[in-house]
Amino acid sequence: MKHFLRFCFIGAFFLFTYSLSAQITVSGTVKDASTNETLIGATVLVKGTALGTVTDINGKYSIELPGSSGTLVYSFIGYETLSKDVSSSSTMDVVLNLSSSSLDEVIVNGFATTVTRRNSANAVARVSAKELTEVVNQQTMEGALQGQFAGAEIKSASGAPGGGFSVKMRGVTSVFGNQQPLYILDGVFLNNSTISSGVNTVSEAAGGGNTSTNQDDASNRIADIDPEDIESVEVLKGASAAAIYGSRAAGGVVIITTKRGKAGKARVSLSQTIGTIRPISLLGTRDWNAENVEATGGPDALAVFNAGGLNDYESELFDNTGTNSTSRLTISGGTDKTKYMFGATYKNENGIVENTGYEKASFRLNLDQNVTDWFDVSLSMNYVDSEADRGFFNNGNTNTTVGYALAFTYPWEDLFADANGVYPAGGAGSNVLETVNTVTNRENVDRFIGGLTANFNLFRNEKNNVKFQTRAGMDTYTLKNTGIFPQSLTFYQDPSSLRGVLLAGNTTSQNTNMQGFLIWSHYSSSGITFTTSAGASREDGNLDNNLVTATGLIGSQTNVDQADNVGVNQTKSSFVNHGYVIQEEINYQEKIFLTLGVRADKSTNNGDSDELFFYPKANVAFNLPELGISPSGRVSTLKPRIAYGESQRPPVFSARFNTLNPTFIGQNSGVLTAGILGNPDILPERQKELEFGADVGINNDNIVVGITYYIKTIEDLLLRDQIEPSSGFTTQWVNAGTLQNKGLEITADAGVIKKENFSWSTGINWWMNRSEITELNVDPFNTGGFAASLGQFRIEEGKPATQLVGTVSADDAAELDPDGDGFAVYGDAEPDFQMNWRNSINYENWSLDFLFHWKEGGDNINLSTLLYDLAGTTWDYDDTTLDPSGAMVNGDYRTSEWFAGNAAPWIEDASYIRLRQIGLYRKFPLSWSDGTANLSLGISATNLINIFDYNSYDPEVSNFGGNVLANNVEVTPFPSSKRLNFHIKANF
Amino acid sequence: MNKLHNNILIVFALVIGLSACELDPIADPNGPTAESFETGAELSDLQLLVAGLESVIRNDMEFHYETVSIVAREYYDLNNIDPRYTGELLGAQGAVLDNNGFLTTRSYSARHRSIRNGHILINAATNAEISEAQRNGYFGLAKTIQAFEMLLELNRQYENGIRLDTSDPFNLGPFSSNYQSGLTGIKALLDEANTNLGSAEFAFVSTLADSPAEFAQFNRALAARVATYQNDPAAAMSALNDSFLNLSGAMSDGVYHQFGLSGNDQPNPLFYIPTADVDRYMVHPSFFDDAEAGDTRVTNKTTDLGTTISADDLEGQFQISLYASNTDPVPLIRNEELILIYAEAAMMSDPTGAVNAINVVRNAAGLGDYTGGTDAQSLEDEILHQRRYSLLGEGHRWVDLRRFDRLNEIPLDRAGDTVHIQFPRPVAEG
Repeated sequence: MKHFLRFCFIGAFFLFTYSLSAQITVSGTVKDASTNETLIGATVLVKGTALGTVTDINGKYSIELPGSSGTLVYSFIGYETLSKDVSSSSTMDVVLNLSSSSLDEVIVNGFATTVTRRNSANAVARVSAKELTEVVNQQTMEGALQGQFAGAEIKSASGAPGGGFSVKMRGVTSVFGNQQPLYILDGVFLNNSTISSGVNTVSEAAGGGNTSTNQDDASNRIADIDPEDIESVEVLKGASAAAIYGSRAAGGVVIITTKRGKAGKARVSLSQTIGTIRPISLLGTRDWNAENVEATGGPDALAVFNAGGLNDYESELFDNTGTNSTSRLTISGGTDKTKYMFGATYKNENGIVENTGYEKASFRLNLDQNVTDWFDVSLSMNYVDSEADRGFFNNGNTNTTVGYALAFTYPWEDLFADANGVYPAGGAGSNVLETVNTVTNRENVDRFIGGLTANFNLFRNEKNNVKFQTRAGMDTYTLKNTGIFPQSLTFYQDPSSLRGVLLAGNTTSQNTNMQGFLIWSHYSSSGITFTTSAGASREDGNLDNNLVTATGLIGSQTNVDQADNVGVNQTKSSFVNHGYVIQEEINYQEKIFLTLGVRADKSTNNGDSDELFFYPKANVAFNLPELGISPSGRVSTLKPRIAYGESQRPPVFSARFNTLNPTFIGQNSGVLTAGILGNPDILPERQKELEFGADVGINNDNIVVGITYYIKTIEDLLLRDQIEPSSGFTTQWVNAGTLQNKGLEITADAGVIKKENFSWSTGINWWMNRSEITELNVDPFNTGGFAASLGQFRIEEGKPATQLVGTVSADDAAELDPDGDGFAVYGDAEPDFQMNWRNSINYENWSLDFLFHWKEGGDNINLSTLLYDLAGTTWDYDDTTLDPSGAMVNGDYRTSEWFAGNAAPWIEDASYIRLRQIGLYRKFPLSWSDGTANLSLGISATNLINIFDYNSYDPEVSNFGGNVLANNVEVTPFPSSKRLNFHIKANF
Repeated sequence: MNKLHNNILIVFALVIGLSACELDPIADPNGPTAESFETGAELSDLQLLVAGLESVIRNDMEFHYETVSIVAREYYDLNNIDPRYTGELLGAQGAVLDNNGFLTTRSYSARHRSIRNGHILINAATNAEISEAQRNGYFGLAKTIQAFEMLLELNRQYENGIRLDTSDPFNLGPFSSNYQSGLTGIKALLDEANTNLGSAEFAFVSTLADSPAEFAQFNRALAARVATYQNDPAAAMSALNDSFLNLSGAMSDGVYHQFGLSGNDQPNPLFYIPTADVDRYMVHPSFFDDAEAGDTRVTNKTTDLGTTISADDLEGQFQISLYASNTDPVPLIRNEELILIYAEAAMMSDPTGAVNAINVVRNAAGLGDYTGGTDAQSLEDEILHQRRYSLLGEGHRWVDLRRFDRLNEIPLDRAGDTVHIQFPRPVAEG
């Protein structure tokens, strides 16, 4: 094979060498200006004609011009285009500069092909390493993405250390399905599960109005990825760009590329970050006075008050300063043939709550090897070991979570441990100080991610390039959940209590993927490039979750054997997807760009696992100035574009089963039905997205503006329909509705000042989305939250999927509930719009970067306020800002409205403006080096400025984690924090 | 060049070929599915379904017994946790029952879930390679239990009727037109089961009865209960003859739900802890006022908390305590009820026999023989009185007063309280 191919290459060069009766012939080499490496496949066109060629394997080209002189245009993906006048047969060697314009960014256009933004018909977002990690230090990758690009709502679920984010691309894409995008890191399909820790046994959060066990504030597993390793993140926001990823792309696709070595001498980079973590805000306590103390706590409380003995437990718990430290070592380098990048990160953080924190060690080795001139292979290996102590927050029905109990903890109580370290029982049902000091709720992860890419350049000549690319990826991890709620806790002293709880969770996840693609690029002599790719992909996933719950602990033992009662729960799921892809990309003389493609998919998650579903895509973009249409001389780029694509979301794993649950009676094991009737005919949800817009470059693309409008329709919406209970079942999964999102995204980037030692670039993104249930074939229903009286989502034809409704009092029903269904619309979780503003200023060796993020509108269901009001401990209880008549104080007003039947007091605007990141750095070149070595010092902050009118710690919050529609319900969360860091970094 | 192209094609075909294989469905790894029992079930599989059926009938049973007992004011739920127990359920200010609320739907869904499990067992037994006698054993057991569960829910739905044929979940049969036609359907199902049991062999272990003959006695006891509701004394008497009725036996003899505390087992949900704030199920004061002096049932079935518990303008000092622990069995039907069914069936045709039966129950409660009149009205009063005290909290009082058209005797403690005649049909039934 090897010899044969080599023979072919040599043969091909001769074969395609031809001579016609041309006036002049120009030949030469095209190289990179900075590295002096040859550029293979660069395009050389004769301006004003359809004649063109591409550089060969050695970067060489030869082209004949029809006249005696002309202009050659050299272009290559990611580089600035260069024009050269020629007037005789000659040798013309050129060097091309890497482009700084965002239009020359290389973005993904298929499973195995890329395109420059200049030529793309999709609005693909790209976030670079600089924006991700070089301004501020980030705890997790999703945190680093917050507010960075248009079209997404990225939200942290709480301030607990170790992550926990939801990412929604272009609105809600499902009612019951997981909204999260697919993450692909160097070709490896990652698992992003959220595994419940089992603390529900203690909190009994699922025992009340909502049976979801997602209430225990678990992190999602993308948190394991080390942001320091990342070179760039590309975001395909909807089916029009992501169709080629088929059945898993309904939530969008996030493509992560890690840093790789470059040829040249070894480079070492060492950095250390240290800093502090503080709550972004504290709420304070109610304005206690003799009157309200006595009314709430009676004469004993008044005595404590008069003696000046009130305690501030919020301050005890949250007014702390955590520390964080990140150490990073990168070694990279290589030769023409072999390149390497080794990265190691060690991160250690303490949360603002005692006994919480996050510790992570990540090692990465990326290797690239050119085995022969037609075969190269790239390897990525990443090992991560992390430990997150999450604390014990969010909803509960046993008054034991720290947040919940704090609401009912009164300042006249004495909760402090005595000299022997023994805590008194708290009046709230638990003692918050004891819980924080005694309880463990830990996640440990060991994760290995490995990816292999092999490229076979099967054939190449001036007109053709045939490549076979195969990729294989593996992502495997073990997650250990440890919950220790010792028998010594005051709330476990009662013999009828659980008497101590141990949780030992063990989750193993294996995801593998393989793909093979054949890519044939053909450069026609008329300057048209055809890129044909075809291939197949297979993705496998297995998840096995075991949870051992021990209650009735013997002494202070932390082995689950040492308990009176031990229960085991195992949940397994797996899937296999097969995808077949074919795609054709046509570049007509850099004037018109057309892509047509289709993916066919099978998934074991579908009712019929062997049925093929087809997902087409098509898009086209026109470069108007190249076509001779330019409205003004200052417009350097004007590219209208339109793109269409489809993708799907498979039904949940169990949707097609009538699973029988185990039971036991007398001496016999048995099986009995669950409440959900399996649907053997269940179909995936199908997403169809049309996006169109234009990119405009002004003043040599110094200012680039992009406008994109999209219409995203999700058909065959997967819904849980209530069925006749006399069937013996209560619900069934059905395909019964259509959801539509429409939105607008505007991006603008400008290089305001570009001077040798002073530059300022700025960018603004603005985006909005509106959803509507356009068709619903089941009765309207409420979902998410706890109960209509506490605010819920309501899925109703003709209404936004994110509308928030609640009960309404008889007095207000006529006004607030005109349709008479018993629910008033009190808000909408969808933001009115979001916006960011990014700046990067460089002056000599100084740099200043900052990013503002503004979310306007979008409501939350704030049940923390409810709990504090019921307890009479709300910070604003005695203010009089709410009652229109001014008669009632806020606390009384809210509860009286609620008792009258209105859910309105708990639905609140969750707008904010934040300074997401700011960093100031000074670089010191090291004189002893060749000029590349330097030392850099800096200071940075995240969430330094937070402006919001929301009545709690942070409008970014979710009691139910990230995976669900209702990810904006607040119940006494872990408060969010801001961080201030100092950086020192050495490169040599 | 052709050769090269061929090579490319071969590589390409290899990749496509490797993954173009058929994608087989993945079986549910978290448990067996109903479909997996449909064909070729072994005896051990059928045993799992029998145990599952006998287990599932315990699910949410408290929602049946508590709701019908509270409507009859046998006891109140004064836990003050859910206001619906003292508002909606007691018809406060004329409140109607919510046809989508848990008071209506929890037990309704649970009873039908039991019936579904019965169908799964019947389907599995139909297609299993077993003897005819063994098959009859499964049929007899499943149908009897289905009839028991249907009767519980029919007593709540009353004139709304229930669906008698629910064998196909995608194509459910019609609702019986009223209470009596529902009873007719249940009687037919019990008779069918009794025929099956007549030529049956138990190839399984049941927690309800040890043999087909014993199970048939349980079946006939239920048939006697149904006949009583149908006001058919002759049929009741005939069924009693084949039941486990024993005038000289213990009151507690009967068929019971078993409970346990191990992993997948269930505790007795009707066991209430006297000290627990969340178990304030307080017996109605009239139960003490109306009792005969010395009736041991009054003290045996209640616990004095020593303090008056009140909520929502209702109060009680005595917690209902039918069960001594959370593993105490709960009767499906027992001898004491059969004796009183006997008395009621004999009331018109054999007043002496009726009085004899009444005296068995009275004596067991520490009371002397019956001294009242033997006219029909006096005996009806006495039998209803004995049923009230003998079967407290076992789901009878409301049904008994309703069939004698005496619901107006239910004591109302607050102005505006009313008595529901039946529960609404759940909204999800369409």
